[in-house]
Amino acid sequence: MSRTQAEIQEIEFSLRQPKEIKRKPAIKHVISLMTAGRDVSALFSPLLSCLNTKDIEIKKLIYLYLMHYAKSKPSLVEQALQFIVVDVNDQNPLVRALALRTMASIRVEKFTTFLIEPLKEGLKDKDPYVRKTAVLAVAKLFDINPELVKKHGFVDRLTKLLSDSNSMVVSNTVATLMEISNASPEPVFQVTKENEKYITSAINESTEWGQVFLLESLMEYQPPSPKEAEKIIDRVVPRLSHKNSAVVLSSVRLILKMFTFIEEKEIILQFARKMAPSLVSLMDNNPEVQYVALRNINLFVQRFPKLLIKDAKVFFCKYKDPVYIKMEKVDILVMLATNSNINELLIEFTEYAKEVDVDFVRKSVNAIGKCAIKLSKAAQACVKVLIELVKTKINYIVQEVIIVVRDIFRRYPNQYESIIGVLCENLQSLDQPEAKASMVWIIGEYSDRIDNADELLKAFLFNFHEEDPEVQLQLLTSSVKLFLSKPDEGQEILEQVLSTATNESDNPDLRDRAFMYFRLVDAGFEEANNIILGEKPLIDTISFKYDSKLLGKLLSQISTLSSVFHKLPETFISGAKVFAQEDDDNSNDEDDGGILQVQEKEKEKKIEREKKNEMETQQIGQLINFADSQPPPIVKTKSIPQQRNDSPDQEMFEMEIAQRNDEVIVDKEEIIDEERGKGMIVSAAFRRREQQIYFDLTISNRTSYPFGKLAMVFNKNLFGMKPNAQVPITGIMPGQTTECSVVCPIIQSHKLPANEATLEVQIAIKNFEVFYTQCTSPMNIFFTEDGKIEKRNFLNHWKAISDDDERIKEIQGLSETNPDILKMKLANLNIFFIAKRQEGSIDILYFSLKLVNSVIFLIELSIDQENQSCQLATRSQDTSLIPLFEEFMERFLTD
Amino acid sequence: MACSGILIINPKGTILISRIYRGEFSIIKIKNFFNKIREQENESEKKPIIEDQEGTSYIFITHNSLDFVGIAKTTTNLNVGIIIEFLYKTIQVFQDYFQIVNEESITDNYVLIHQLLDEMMDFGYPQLSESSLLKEYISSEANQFVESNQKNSITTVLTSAVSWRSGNAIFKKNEVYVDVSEKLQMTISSTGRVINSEIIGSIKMFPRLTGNPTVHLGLNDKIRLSETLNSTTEKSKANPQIEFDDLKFHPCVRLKEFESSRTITFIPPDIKFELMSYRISGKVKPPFLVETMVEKHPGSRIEYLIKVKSMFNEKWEAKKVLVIIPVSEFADSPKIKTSRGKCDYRPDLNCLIWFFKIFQGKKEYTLKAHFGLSSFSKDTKTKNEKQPITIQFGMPNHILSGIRVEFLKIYEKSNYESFSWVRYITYSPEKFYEIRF
Repeated sequence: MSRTQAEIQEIEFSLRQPKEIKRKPAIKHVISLMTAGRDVSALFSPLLSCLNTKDIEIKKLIYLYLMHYAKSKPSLVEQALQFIVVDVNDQNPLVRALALRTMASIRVEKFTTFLIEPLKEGLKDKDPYVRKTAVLAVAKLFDINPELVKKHGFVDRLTKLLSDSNSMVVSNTVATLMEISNASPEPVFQVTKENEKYITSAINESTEWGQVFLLESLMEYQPPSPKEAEKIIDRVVPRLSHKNSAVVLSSVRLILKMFTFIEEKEIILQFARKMAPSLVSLMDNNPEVQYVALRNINLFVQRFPKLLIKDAKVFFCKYKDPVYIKMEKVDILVMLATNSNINELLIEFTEYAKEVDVDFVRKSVNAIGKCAIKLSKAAQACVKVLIELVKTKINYIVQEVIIVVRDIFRRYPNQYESIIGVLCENLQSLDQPEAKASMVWIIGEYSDRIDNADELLKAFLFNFHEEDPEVQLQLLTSSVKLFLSKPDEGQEILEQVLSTATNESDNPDLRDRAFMYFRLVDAGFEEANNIILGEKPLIDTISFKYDSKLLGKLLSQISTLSSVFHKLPETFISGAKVFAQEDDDNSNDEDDGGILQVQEKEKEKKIEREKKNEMETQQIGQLINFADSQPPPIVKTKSIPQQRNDSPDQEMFEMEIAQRNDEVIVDKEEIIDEERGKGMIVSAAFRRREQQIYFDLTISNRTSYPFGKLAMVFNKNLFGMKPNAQVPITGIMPGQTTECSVVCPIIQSHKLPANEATLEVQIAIKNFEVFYTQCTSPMNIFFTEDGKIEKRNFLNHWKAISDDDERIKEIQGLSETNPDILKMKLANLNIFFIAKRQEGSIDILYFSLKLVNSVIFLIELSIDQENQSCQLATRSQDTSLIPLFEEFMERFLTD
Repeated sequence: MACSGILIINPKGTILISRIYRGEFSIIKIKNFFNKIREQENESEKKPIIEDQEGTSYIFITHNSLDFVGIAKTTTNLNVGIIIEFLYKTIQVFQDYFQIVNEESITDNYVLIHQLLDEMMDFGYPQLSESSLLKEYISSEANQFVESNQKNSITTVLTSAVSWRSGNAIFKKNEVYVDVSEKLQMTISSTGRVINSEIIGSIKMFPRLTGNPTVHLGLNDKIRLSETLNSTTEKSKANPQIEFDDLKFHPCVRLKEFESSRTITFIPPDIKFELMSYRISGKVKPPFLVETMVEKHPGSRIEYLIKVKSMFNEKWEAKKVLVIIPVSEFADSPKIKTSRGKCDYRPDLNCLIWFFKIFQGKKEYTLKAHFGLSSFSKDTKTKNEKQPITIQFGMPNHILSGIRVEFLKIYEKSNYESFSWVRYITYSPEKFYEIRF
């Protein structure tokens, strides 16, 4: 401690030396200590006195020091202001730029106010270096205080700089404008035809980084005609030969975007051919660049499957490649596989399967299987290779082979059964549920051809209770199949499995299925045979591709995080547009966005309460056929208490989520209370996020014993939601509360007939006993993200539906009549705004939405501003659901 | 799109440099998260781009066991390509300043690095990254104070269209050194079949030219992209042409001019730089072939018989040839015999390194090695089993593709006399030439 102090004192002494040349090493020393994480704030005033210098390096270092301490010691830093203000007008442009850069980086209010005037001057400075620095300083100012940028008209000033003679000024300007525009609720900058000229001409002279900014900004450009789009591409094509991979990828991205404006396929293909070699060349780069390139090439190949086939060899794995690169290469190789190169690929895959990394080996084995499914002519060769691989008897290879063979059988039934014998020799080594389930499936499917199928199945039954649910279900099905094909041998096994599944298992899925089979077999051997051993649909071959819409969106994100993760930006980027400025400055939390969100949430809550009141009056109608041998106790729903545990913390937490995901969060309702649940409290809600429906649960244990595994089933419901997994919670300790989510995909067979339209979902949850309850699913969870209809198509759609299929409803007492706010609120529900027109005091808005069952609703909302009322006209091919929708809208609009 | 900060982290997990350009980050959290990434054992998950749960993305590259990390809040859809390129560029600039970039040199140059990072990136947007220009006003030596009027010109240079040359250079003798090199990447199967081969060519230049000269470079063949060659009508049979799969140029090359006239025209930077690089994936005859015979007696001994053949013309020679043969990690007590060259057993790397100073064309040499095998080796599948044999070599004055510099013309206002020197080499660096077992 004293040593440190002594050191600091020593530095201070040097800093106070009269000669500058002696002070300089001391200043450098301070910066070194600062970088190493030492506290040198005590040296502030001696350093400040050194600032009066002409030596630019000294200035730079002291400014660095200021920026470092600006956050923790703002009052100290304020003293430096007088010096910086002088420097802003220095003769030397480097000093002027430095001062501007520093001032804008210090997030202290005093600095900000003093920044405005020099910044205006800086943007007009005769020196381009100062201008390019000033431009970015505007971005910094916007980050600190967007209002000031607006107030002083900086956006207009920037827009003028687009025609600057210096390309670096232009590229920084474009970057700043894009940033401001993206963070503003309304676009402040658009690439017009005139801007586009300046931008494209600046590309040629820019630095590699500047080129990326400029190319990126052109992504926003809407060329007026296909010819214009071609022109842009023509200008960008030379960039494909750039050494910098970011420039290449940004060019590819822009060209792909321009393709969306061109209709002639031949032209598109011609340009796409030019892109292919550049993309392949990215593979000569460092592994990190290769990784980004591979993820993007993956998307490119999906779009243009044929262009890279001749380059397949480039994607052969080298021994020295990092494993994450090898994994990506294998994916691409599978996509590039054709009947002519498959032999070569198989040799490669076999080679890879001998390597040490388990993940990579499995991936390679899997790739062989995928090729077999993809190329019917080569399937024979692939299967042969797989048989060879099984002979290695290496545990994880055998298991992976079994998994892919199952898929091969499902693609080519009754063709490659010879492999079964080989597989059956290797059953001891199976330890992965998926491999086990696959093997059991194979045994069941081909039980008529496997002589000792019964013995093989018996071996698996030995540990029935310890098996994964996936394996248990498969065992059940396969036992039935065995029984149907060989009744004599299978009967004993089937009886054993059915009895275990119905009497001993606590997995409702398994019990359900067991009972179903039981009845089916009981109903008649023939029927069961037809149903269970009937012909199955073949699996399709394109399962490893994205659908074209998603692909298109991802392709417009080339080179970004989105393209690397293969996720759409909205699914992982935190903070919606409106709230973007929040990320740095939490102090001005209470902007409009926040308040709006709170209001919305309040309303949402009210809706929920209302729904709950409704629910009280209802009782569960049909009960789920849980078990028929022991009829379940008829539980009548008691009224659900109003009490809710809205702890403020929880609300805060949920609000955060709400903002981050930009979605409507519905409060959970208590579906099982303490009394009824005998100490188990379950609150739940259906919510939609990431394009899926989730059933979010909070489960509290108020008993004195821990809970075991929980099981849950839904009765058939309107759209056919069915939880795809068990409640992923086991062992809730007494007094503990746990949260979890279950994805509920839509299963056609789980649908109710439409005439029983209700949004209630009947649910059974099993802990130690079964509890029956119900939960309302808010209608908006069934509105899909892709429900937006292009403006130009909307009218056609509208006309295509006859007037008879239109339903009209008057809604009084609207709580919100501002069309813009309504638009936003409805967009959160996946009700997409199409167009708007006005007739006197009536605003007419058009929306579209798509339900999970692909039914499209077209909506015309005429809002009467004077009477606070509106007319809701809904058109659809399927009118049966419109009443529910109207009810939903009424509640939403009037609350 | 902008990057939030650049960090340099040593292998122990200490953050040596953290330059945050925007936003606020808890350095401790970053450190903890990053250390977690490092502990990741699953090889396939060690990806260079990772997102944590709090919405921060990490993009990292490794150099001399230091991690260079770009971090960014995932509030926008970050352009990762630009960040990776920038990180590599940063390392290159550091190398231009203090040659070796390692922990020691980083700590020695804190002050310089801060100045560089300040100039190279502003508010997360990469700005200037040409070390030749940065050196004009950020120097590692004690900086002499320069009058502001003199410095005036520098800002214009920094932002000018020719951002790679200041135009102030003066040389007594005007010379250009040109290095044409071709890096061979080849994978050969155990049976001697070429699985995959690729030539990555590069023309590097070291111009020592006064003023702002314009250089025209002509190659022996008109450069053609294979894409145009694919349309059969254009294929000229008389003059066999080099089929480039792709070409890339230094930013100084006037791409538009190249697109139209196919000559390479440029104002060169003032330092050694790569003018162009190209890729040729057409068939190449392998310069070396290897035959291997391994006799393994688990638990007792293992014997290797390796034959290396040079397949190129006998007039040529390869220099500094290293044949690296992976050996079982359970091997011990080696007995090695070679018909030529020196062979070392490196137990630390589990391999034999067979070295030739010069390897002439059309020659064949053999190596016999005998090892004892410890009893552990019986059932374990070892890492080395599938590792390929690799060869490193250089072949000066020889170029596989046959590309040649035909002329080099230099135009400058003062019309001075200039000389040019051209060297050729074909080589295959570490792990580029694989022969599978």
